[in-house]
Amino acid sequence: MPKPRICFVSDTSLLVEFENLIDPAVNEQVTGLATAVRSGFNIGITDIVPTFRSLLIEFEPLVVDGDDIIDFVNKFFGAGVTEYQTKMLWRIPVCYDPSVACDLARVAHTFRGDATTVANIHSSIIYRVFMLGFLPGQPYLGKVCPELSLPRLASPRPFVDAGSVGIANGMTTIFPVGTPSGWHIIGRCPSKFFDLLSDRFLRSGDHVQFVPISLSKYYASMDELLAAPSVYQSDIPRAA
Amino acid sequence: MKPSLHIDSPGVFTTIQDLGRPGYQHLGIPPSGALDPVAFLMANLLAGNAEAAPALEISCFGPEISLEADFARMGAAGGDAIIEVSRCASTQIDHIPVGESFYLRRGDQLKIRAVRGSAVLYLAVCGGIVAPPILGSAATYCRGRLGGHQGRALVAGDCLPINLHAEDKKSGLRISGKKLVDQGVPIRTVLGGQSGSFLSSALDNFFGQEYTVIRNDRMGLRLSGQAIKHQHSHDIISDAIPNGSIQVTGDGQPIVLLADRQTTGGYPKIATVISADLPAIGRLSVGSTLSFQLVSQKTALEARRAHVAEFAKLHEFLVPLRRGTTLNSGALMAENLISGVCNGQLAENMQCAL
Repeated sequence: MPKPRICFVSDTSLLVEFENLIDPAVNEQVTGLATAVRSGFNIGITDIVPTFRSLLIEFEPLVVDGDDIIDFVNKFFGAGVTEYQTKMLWRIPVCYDPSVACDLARVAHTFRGDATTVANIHSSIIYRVFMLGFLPGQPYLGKVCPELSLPRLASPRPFVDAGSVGIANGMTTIFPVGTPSGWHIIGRCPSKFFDLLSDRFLRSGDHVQFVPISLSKYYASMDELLAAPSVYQSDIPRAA
Repeated sequence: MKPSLHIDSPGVFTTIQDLGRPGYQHLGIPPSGALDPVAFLMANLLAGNAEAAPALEISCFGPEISLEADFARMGAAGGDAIIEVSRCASTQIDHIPVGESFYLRRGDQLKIRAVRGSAVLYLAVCGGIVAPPILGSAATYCRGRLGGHQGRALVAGDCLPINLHAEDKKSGLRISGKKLVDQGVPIRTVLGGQSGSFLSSALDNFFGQEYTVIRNDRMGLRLSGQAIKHQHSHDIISDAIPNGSIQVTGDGQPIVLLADRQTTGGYPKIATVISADLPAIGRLSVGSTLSFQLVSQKTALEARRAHVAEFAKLHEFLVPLRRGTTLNSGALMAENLISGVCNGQLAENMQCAL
């Protein structure tokens, strides 16, 4: 792995950038560093925001010296990464039925398939949570199969329902609340998957498997809390 | 009936805010909180609050509110407006300028019309508005439907519980020597994460021109000026957006991202507003003009130090309402009106929010 680029982007924030790629190994460096910074500083760090290929560290410069954070980041990479966070595997039920997924029929048509084909392809992969963003608890999951890799809609829809499962630009997501969106909606999850009160939500570096369910199961399990995740065994070789 | 503020009319966009909920951006939750924390805290101090209690952030055109409690001490600070108070017990109508404390009694109704000179005006009540804290803050984040009153802007008929407090005999206060409206000074910035995506001529263009705000909300300010050219693509792999980050969209126009911004985004970020100037940028509204100045990291840090120090001593800008008399901060402390402001824990909380 090449050395990351580290720079101040304000008096209260520092950006650490890795290779300019959407790649699990690059993202693993980001989540690994995020975990290390979180446990490495007791005070003075305000926010740690891991994204696809970079980490934003917001800090209080009157409490912690930004140069000390830079030293910490450099030492972290000098030492070699050995311990990452425990990653969880979430099994998320999704109903792939045109009555709850407005773009499903059209997406199936783009490769002469049907709803079941889309469900099979979409649920065949264990996705990595590359980051959370855009909305509270919204995961960017990837990467999807090439058949399902479509550009965003030319103009966003004014509203998609909470639980909608979308695909766009090689990624898939679930919307935690109703929102305007330019993603193609191919399914709907009945469960609550972002619940601050129960402390149950996805984190960057976790993994997700979608489990197809029937329309009747969808209606029967509306608003249930998502089942607790299991520990995910990483397939990414750990650095020495 | 519980003591409360009854919203007869919500105004254009009124939300409950405090100093925000930093620390959750990794979950996609922006910090939210007052766009102008200085005016927000001033309103609280005027209302007699020692702490930064949840208060109303009012944009553009204000609400009409009736008091459903025996008594309330109020404070308003921020943009210019006249607060019209119709007294229930008489036919009297009082006109109270922003920047002064005032009192409401049961059934009194206040009306705030156009707010000028700043995008935001804060209305605080002694004891604070009671809103269940979400992740440690009562700040409303509308897009994520979190915090405040049911996670949304206020609507007519809302009833906001307030903490009951006894009628006090303390003197009224007014702000003196501190302006909380758009000052028209350049906004200081440091270079952003993707400043390298722009040719030096584009950077010169960015720092050399005057921009006009064409849209503003709690997410950010959309600016209009001469287009800035990106060196390559205007798409980047999405990354995190610090507070005050300035991104340049495909059409070459900047957007300054504020308290309710999306936590991640895919446009190159040319610069970031320094933390000391965030209250100033939070005051800008449609039609405001502004320019950006590039400063060093060292200057930005010195400005923060000065800003945090001033924030901890905002009570020094308060004087008794009665003109002709002066009251120094020591006397105010002795009166125990605002003593909690110098409490260390609070000062620390405030730093996070700045």
